[in-house]
Amino acid sequence: MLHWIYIVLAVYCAGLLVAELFTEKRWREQIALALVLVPLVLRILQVK
Amino acid sequence: MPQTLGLHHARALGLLMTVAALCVVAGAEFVAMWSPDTFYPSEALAKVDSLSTYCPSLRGTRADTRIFVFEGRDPGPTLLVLGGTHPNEPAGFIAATLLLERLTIQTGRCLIIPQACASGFTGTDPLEGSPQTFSLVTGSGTRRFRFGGRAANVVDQWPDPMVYLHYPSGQQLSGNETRNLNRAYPGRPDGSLTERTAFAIVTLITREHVDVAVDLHEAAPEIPIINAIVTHEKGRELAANAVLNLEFEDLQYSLELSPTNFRGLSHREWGDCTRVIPFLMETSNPIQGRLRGRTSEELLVSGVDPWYRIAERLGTMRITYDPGGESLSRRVARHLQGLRALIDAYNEQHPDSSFTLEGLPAYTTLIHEGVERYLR
Repeated sequence: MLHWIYIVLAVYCAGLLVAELFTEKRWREQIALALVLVPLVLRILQVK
Repeated sequence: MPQTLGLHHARALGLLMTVAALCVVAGAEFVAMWSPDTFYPSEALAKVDSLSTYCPSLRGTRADTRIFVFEGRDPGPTLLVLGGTHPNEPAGFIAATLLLERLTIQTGRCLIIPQACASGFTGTDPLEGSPQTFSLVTGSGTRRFRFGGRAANVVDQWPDPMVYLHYPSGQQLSGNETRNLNRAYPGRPDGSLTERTAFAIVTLITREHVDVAVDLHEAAPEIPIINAIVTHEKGRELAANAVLNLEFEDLQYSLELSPTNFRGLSHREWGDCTRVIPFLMETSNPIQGRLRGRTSEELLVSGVDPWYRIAERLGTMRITYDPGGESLSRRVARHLQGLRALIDAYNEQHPDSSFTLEGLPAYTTLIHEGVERYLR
């Protein structure tokens, strides 16, 4: 059960990051957001 | 005023596509680790079973693993050999592989689990820079073997608790030890994936009436318990005889007694919970050490590390490292020679019910010709 709660949290955080990626105007910050997104997506897909 | 797409939106879209591409590239590498390794068992193979036979809830999970069963013509005792309890300790896994590919057996039974922690073989430890695989050129061509992490993959068992409470003792360990098979014995059928794996192994030992069980490991050169045989109280005499006989062959193995207050380990719990006489063997492996240099496939196979050479020369630490290198062949040879000595000692104590395992290369031959020469 805890596993799936963590997956839901990861999906929520990834959603926030994507929303922030589109509202953020500074390119450096956008790259940082994209970098953080990679491990979250891999964890949501349960690949890594 | 209607909102229009700005430059930052286009950049965000481009970055999202880059993220997708990175996930595909990285994901393909991680998923490639899920493919099982191939083994070529010797003609003495009677059957291949799986761990889920002993704990059905493991079926379909990445923790389920193969058990190779070898049977001699005549009845006799049963031996269990475990490799890959820690998938980042390749000598244990390769020694078990060599055993199952070369073994001939006259009396008794031998059960071999080359990848006890199968889930751990599907991913490496973070921040270690470990190679995902290593290659050996054998008679049948280049064979690739996976090099995993110390414990079960977080994808299969996640999240880790802050503190790991061992069942049933309640011993407290660091949270990440919850995925360590060699802290999970005796396990339980409704526990975590690692606890269920441990439970299946203990059930196998009980149900198959295993007489002697050997768990093959490696450790960093600076760890005190290295080139050692660790045993439960009931294996003390047998292990002492084995170590003495190895001394006559000019091979030094230290004899360590399993601590009674350190719970969850194979040499403690197998001995306490079942009738088996358990042993655990360790070799010195520089790729696991904190002083190591480049963490490469070459270091894994050759065992030559310049920083350990310097550390050994300075003598400021207790390091068990041969300046010539701790090659994989040498580490596998040590495991097999230790196993042979334990079996000989058992046979001396049980002349009416003894093992006859054959087909394995001699210690010096294996080192000189290389382990790849004896893998199929």
